[in-house]
Amino acid sequence: MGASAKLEPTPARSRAASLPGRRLLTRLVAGDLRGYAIVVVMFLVAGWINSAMFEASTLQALAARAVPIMLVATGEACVLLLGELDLSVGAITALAGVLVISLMNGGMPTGEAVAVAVAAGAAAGFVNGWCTAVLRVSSFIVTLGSSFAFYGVALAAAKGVQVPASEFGPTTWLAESFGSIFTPVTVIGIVVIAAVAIGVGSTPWGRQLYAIGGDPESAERWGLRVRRRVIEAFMLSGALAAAGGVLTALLLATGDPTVGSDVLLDAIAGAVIGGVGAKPGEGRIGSAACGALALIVLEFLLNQQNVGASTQQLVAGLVVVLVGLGRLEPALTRSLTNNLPRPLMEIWQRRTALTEGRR
Amino acid sequence: MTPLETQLSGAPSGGPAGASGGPDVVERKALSSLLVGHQELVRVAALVILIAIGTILRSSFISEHSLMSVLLPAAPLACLATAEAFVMIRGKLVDLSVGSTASACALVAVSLSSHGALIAIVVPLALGAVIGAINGVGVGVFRGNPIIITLGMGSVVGAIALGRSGGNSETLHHGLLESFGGGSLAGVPDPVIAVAVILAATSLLFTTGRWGRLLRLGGDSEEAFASSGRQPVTGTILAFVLAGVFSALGGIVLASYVGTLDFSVASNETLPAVAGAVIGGVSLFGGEGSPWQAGFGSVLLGFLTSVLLVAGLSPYQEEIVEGVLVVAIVYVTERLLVTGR
Repeated sequence: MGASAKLEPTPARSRAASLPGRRLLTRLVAGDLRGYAIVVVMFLVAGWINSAMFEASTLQALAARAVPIMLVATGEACVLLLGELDLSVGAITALAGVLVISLMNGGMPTGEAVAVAVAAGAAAGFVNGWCTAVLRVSSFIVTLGSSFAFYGVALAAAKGVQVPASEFGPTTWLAESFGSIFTPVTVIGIVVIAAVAIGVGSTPWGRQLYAIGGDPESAERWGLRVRRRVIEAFMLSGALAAAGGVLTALLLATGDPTVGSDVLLDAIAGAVIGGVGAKPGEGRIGSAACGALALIVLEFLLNQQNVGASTQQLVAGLVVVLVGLGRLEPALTRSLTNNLPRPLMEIWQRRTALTEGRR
Repeated sequence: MTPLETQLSGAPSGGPAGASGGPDVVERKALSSLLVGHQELVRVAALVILIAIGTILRSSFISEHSLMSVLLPAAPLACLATAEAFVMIRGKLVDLSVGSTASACALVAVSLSSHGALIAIVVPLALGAVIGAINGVGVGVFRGNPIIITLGMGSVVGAIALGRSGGNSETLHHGLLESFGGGSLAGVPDPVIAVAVILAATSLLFTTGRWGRLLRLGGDSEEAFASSGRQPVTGTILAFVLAGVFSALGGIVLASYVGTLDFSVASNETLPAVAGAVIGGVSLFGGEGSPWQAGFGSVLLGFLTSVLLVAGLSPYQEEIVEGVLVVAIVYVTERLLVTGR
């Protein structure tokens, strides 16, 4: 890690910056916009393998599965941006799903029931955020514990079983298509995710999130209301997770108190695929949502190829592990040469010396 | 640091800590120094109080049968908490795959039990070590996010276990393992005795051996450790391998007395394992703790759960209270004990 190593890339980088489009390409391939590129590639690959992928009915079914997960991933990305983690989003989706169906069975109009369920999600997020920001317990523990509590509430409310909707009528319009490929679900997804992405990416409020994620102490000294922003991010995450749960429950006309663990995995993995979470204060919300979409397309493709449930889970898990390995390219060689246990390192050095000597 | 590491490293976004002053702090310091000096005493007192509450609520709580019915499920949990403890002591790491690893190893142990007890014990342990090694290489060598890597690994292991077993449950064959799981010595079930002995021996080796120092010092300050010429990555891999082996051990112990199980038998035990280790006094920030503390924490957690159930809570309500209590206990331990130092 000498001075030369630091200086070397500079000419290349300045040349890259001088070419318009090169910078965008770098961001799309390896940077904060990579979610968009990955989802396009994923769609093309899926369409190449299975020609039915681009049919309107397939796209509608895909949207019904993907939009709830993308909403959850969007919320999770906001929390990851701050350098925190929300492990309770899966429990919140289960809770909101049970809540909205129970309220509607109790005679509440659909709109009010949805509003109550999303508000409950925001309240759950407030609890998470308050414990993290004010009590300063690490968000990992807070959300792990609160996910237990939220699952408990959902199970107690549903008495441990799935809650079927008593009347199917009010929610069927959600899946009715218009303009051949659009459904209300798609529109809701695009509008909500775009609103959050613009809110985080292009408003003063969103820039504060980036500033806090980058360096919380400096942000506090600069006069930003750090605690408040942390609580707000958790509330946003809770509300979006609840929205995802409500959407799933309405589409299936069932509130299931046991769903959510795969939602959590997909949401975190999607955000990380989209380039959020590798470093606090870096990444784009839209890219994170697209990362989740890419993951769902992959799962959907496996489903279409009649791959079993266990293999699907296996592939999803492997993708998560590979994504979690992070930015391999520069780190890989350095880690391999610097951090090996001593005996292996000696072998490595001897081998390198040998090959160099032979040359 | 990645966000997932920052939030483990206890750098809360609430801004710089310790900004306030005044008499409140002094008072809190006095209280916390009292607690720091007698940490173990506080935990033993908590156990006694829990048993007392249980006995007040139901007089048969103190009976041998009832106590053992709490200790028996605490035995595999203690193994999982120990697994978590090794990773936590190594510093700012956490293993979310212990539940799936334990389930998969329990399933392997049960399906191999017809080939004799030795194979049914050694093979799962080796499998656990391999899973741990993969986690360790991913986190240590490739510098991956511990949470993401182990979450993904848990999913992979669970998927393989599901695929291999087809989702069916399997039953333990008659043999040494089954008689071990059902047997008892002077009223104490064999699995409890075995786990207690193993944890005591591991703790002794951990406090005296070089490998224990490797984990503790590496967890205390990785930078200082690295600049003293050691390789922190060795400790990371070792911690995850140990976590895998102890998860497998938990699975085997569970299999020995449960008998019939499927691929998801222990998949929900990851949070209780983390909670048990933290309650027992293993620091989430690394460098502090010992296997027996994790074991004691699991016993404490087991009694807490059973007291809540005796108090008349439904299992769902119990889950709510347990989730809240875990956060509360971590808050109290970390705030009072960390500021007291």
